[in-house]
Amino acid sequence: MSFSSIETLPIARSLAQIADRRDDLAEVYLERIEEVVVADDRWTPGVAVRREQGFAVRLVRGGATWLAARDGFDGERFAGALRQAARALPSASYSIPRLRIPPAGGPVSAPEVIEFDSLLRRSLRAHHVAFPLRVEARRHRRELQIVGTTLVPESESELYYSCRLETPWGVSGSVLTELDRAAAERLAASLVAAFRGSKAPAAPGGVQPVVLGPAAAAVFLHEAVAHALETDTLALEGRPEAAIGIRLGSGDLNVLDDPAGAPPGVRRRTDDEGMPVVRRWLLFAGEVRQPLADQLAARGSERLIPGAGRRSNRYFPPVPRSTHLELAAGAHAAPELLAMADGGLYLPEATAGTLDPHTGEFRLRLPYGHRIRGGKIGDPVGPLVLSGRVAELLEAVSGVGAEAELAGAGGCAKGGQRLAVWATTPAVALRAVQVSR
Amino acid sequence: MIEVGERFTDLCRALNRRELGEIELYVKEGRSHRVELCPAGRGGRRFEVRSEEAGWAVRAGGRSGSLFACGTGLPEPAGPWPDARGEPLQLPATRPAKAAPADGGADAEAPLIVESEAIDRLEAFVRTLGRELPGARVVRAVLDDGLSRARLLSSRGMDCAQRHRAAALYLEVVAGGQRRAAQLAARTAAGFDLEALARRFATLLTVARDGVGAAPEATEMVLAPAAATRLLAGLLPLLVGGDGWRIARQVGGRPGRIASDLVTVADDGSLAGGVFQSDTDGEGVPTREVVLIDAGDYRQPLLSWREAAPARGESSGCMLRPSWRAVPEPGPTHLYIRPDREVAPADLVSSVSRGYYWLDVTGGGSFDPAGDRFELPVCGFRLRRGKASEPVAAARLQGSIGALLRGITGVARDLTFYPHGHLLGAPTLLVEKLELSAAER
Repeated sequence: MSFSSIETLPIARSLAQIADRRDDLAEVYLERIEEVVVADDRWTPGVAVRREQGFAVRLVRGGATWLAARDGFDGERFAGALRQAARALPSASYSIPRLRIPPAGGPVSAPEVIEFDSLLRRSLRAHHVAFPLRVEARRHRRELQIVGTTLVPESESELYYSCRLETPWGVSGSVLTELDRAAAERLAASLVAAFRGSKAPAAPGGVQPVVLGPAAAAVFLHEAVAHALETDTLALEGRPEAAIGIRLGSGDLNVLDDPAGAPPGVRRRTDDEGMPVVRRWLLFAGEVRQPLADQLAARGSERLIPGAGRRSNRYFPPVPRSTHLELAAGAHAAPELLAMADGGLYLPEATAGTLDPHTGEFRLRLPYGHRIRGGKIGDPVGPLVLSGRVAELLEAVSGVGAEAELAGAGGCAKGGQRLAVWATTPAVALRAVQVSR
Repeated sequence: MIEVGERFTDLCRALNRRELGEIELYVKEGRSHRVELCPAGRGGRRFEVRSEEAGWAVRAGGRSGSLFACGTGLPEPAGPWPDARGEPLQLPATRPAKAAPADGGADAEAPLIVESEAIDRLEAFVRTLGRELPGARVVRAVLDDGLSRARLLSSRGMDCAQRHRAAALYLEVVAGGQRRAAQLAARTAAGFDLEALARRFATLLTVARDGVGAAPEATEMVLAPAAATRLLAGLLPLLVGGDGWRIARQVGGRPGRIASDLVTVADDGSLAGGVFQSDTDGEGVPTREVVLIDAGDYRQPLLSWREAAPARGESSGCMLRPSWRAVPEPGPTHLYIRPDREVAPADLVSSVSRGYYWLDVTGGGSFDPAGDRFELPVCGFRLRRGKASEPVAAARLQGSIGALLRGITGVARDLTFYPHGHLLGAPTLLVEKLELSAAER
């Protein structure tokens, strides 16, 4: 898949015709998507493949955005979309660029997706457990090209995998950089732990210390730090810049968003608006440094930096979102973290997190946990929910582990747009948080 | 009707060479217009999105298994075709073929809402809400209006056309630290009464702000359609798919009896005026009304033609295909509790001497049809001598699903549909001796 043959100059010239006011922003977003799905489902054929391509023209003027999206690429469609975005009469004449982009071709080959089901089941058998399981494995490929009036960044591409697992105790989803034996063994271990958790006694409720393993910490930080510091979320209560300098959590928290440091398949140089990505400190020593901003938020501000605009596809305008969160490693070895939370719970994984941006109420769902006794991981406990106000939870962080791990934070849905998000985090200890069933 | 020319014949030749004999082509074109206001916060923002979509999907199968492929534009005979694997494909027979354009309702070709009208309507919602409940803020209001047409051809002789018209509305409001959101569907954007919705939001937020808690008790309760449809959503495992028979045995009282004789539940893809009204389903099979619970007696779950024979129930066209990207799957189209035209909702409310009137749910709740238990967080009013005496901000309905269904003693005429993943409808219901417990606000 490649946009290398595209002639960007005529497109930029056409865009300049509709961006006729000084502060107008106009761009074309072109995308190609391929998705291969293999699921052991009676309704789904053996292999399903989706290949689509299209574009959207966007014009931003003041607080208004007009977007016109089309399937396929050709000059006539482009001219039609340009007219719609500019809200011009059909008779308005715009130069029609040549927009012949060869369709993505070639046979569909996805042996890693096809074989993953049996790899996973083989790994499960090695644990000597059996339970009903439905596996849906997906490979996601996307290539995108942004053309602005003055800016034409290089095209970007993404390749990653996702897996949806249905079991008698619930549905879980993961995003993965590889779909190989190691991934199968990790998922099998996680399924076995959740299976044992589903049979385990209920978790003790109440306020108690906990240690979040790297995978659970990834979901926690995505919800409690990244979503809380998106400029569209901050704008609900006032000026997003006003958050800069506010203490949001413990001094142990140094969190950044670094799309260029993401795993190789999803590493980015520019965002979905064509702006260069930055290594952005969201929290430094617990203090807000730089919220996640897209061009719309950064245009009127001297303090906000764009580069965090993301869109799930051409039918949606970009919004500020994180791509790859990193929590800077702390000084604590794993036994020290467990000792800090003695008598509490070790929570290795989270299935979902939610943040109410209006109240700051946060909930993290965990499929299982383990008691911590004598500074060691003990008996499993059943599903539980960790809840509280974001600022209180972030302030409750009492220690950050020394060893960071890459974890897919998962599929994140907000405002109708679903995106894969990533994180590299160590384990985190929280001194006293509300746990309920 | 979408013209596909010789494309289907060419596709069949190409796929036959791969020893795939069962072939289905689905092509769809659509337009939509979405207007979104985000008035809260700095300055407010407005988004207008106009989309034009054109896509296709092919299912094919043979002895080696089956495949699904889809993409934008029209398919090329060269593919992309993955290797067929897994189960062979079963396509419906030719019986329902319809070459003429299907009637998707009188308004199927009505123009989409224009930007200025959409903004006026959403701003009227903002103004009315501000007037009814000063201090309330609209966080997000999205109005989406769309139309589409599709054509389905198969190697079994199927050739049918479909037209659809649907509009969606999403509203999210905050007031006094409380947040309420609603998603609604109608055939066109004109089908939403935004001023009435603003008054409803004001009522719900006032209840949340001023309401008291509820003490545990078992008493009579009136459920407004928004709360009743959420109960129906929790019952879907009982009502859709082959497992329904088994669950009905667990929930039911005497054999076959599952609900009070006032309860009739049906699904009808051909429902006149329904948002998804269509003559045929996503596989071209004719749609029709299927009664699932008939005056309290469990008849059968909703079954596709593939499931019906082994399960010994009647089938209907219930394979859903919401997009050209989606593999058809069975599911309800308009699943609803049949209303009683003779009963006004106010009659049910005024009949309660001591009980509650639940306007809406405040969370997802939990439903375990196999275990015959449910829990649902609700808000509304305490009723005394048929009148609302006090707002109740948070309470939790709970108990046996079977007891709930058998305890329905009144069904009103105000059938209203809500999108709960599927489009589900219910009128106001009166239920006796439903259990209530306190809930967190």
